[in-house]
Amino acid sequence: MTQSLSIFYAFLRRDFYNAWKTTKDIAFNWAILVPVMYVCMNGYIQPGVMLGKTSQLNMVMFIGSILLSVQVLSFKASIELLFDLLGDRFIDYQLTLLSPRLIIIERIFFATCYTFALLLPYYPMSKLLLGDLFNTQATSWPAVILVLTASAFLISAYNIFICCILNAPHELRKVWVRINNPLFMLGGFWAPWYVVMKASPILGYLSLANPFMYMSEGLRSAFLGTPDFFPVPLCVAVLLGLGCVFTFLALRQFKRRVDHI
Amino acid sequence: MHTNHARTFCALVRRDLYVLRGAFVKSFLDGILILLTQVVITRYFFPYLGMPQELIAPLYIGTVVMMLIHQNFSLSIENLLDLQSERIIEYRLILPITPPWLMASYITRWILRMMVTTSPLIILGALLLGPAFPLTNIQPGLFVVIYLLSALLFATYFLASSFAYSYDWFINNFWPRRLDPILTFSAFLFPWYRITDVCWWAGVISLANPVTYVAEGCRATLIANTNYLNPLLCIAILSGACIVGAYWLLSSMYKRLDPV
Repeated sequence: MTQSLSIFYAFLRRDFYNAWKTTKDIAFNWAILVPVMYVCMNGYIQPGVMLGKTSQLNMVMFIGSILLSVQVLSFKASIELLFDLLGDRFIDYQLTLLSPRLIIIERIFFATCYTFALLLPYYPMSKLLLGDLFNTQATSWPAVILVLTASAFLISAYNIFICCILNAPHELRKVWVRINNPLFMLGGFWAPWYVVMKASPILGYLSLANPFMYMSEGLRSAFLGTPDFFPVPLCVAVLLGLGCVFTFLALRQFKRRVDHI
Repeated sequence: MHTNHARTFCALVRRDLYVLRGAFVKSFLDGILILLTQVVITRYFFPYLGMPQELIAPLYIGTVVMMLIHQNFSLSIENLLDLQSERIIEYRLILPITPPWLMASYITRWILRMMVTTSPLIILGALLLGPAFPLTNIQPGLFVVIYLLSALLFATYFLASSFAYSYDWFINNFWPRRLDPILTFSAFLFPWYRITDVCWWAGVISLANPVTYVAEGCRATLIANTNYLNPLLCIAILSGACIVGAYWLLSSMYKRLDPV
């Protein structure tokens, strides 16, 4: 057990070491540049054009814009598994040292930490740039961090599961167009659940099965503290629960794919 | 000599059309899914948030421009993967065709793919949006010119980018460092006059961005409103941008492939 844990830790360090090579670029892009651009577009120009400069809904719209960053960053951290399974198969060497279950758990843990760390500056940067337009008086920062952690875990588990079921890199485009894109666009990226419900009750109830909705609602609730959104504990519970489900599915699929015994 | 080049060019385009026909249904269905998502958001979600009805049609056109960009991004990645590993381009370079003609065949293929997937969606989207997108004041001739110039512009710039940058740099940095600033400081999503009302400096910057003229040109020729930029101005600027793009494409292609 101790030996497995030490190998687990060594693999984790290897993943961080590999990620570190590109981290400077990626951290600059996703922790500084993207928040600046999103603040200009989703936090200032878009709400100003759509709703007027002083609308209270500006913040409601802007908070959901992080969903794309969550998905892209976690995807970047997870995708190496797919390319490895289809190409170099470094995984075969890892399998001689560690059980398939621990390998998948290590990958999910790494992707979660990586995504979470790069997401952390998003809202503080936005606050710096938007100033009073981004009102954080009612914000519960521990709740924001909790929802971000749970979101990073769920999306990482989901992405690792996707890597385990795909058989070719070109299938990734299908996943993005057919699954990821509709999920986050209809999952609170633009509009909160109560707006979806007003627009179409059927779509509203269907959205309850969309994990992105719990991320955006949890964040809106944590930032604004109003009862218009799902409560944070419910969102965190659903995100963690779904994260565990995807972890289980990824474990099963990975075992089937690499270890037939 | 030129006849040979033209013949090879036609053969390459014919081959691409054959491949395109095979993938048409899948691409079209993917497009429909994106279309439905966008229609739901622009027609239902945004008005419930308080967006004026008059913005539905211009916003929808913005999402079609976004689709063009997404499609070109995918095509660039295909080209980068080819340059990185498969190198089918090397086979094409030994064909009796000069590099500029070869690039023309690539651009034609990309434009055809864009047209096949997005042009039906413009019509279908307008129909689904109903009264929010009245089809009474269309200027079809000008729209076709602007649409073709826009497709040419995107194909040229994205193809040039796939030659100019390495695969790793492109995957990690192209979207946040190139596309995000281009999209943020353009009038692709909202009409230019509305952006200028909210933030004058963003309006000024977006005038230096060709994507603004793509979206504004389409709006001016599809929607009955005189507030958009003049379509003839859009055509002039897009033509100029295409020439600059073609020059960049050729220089980056020669630099990458170094054909003797």
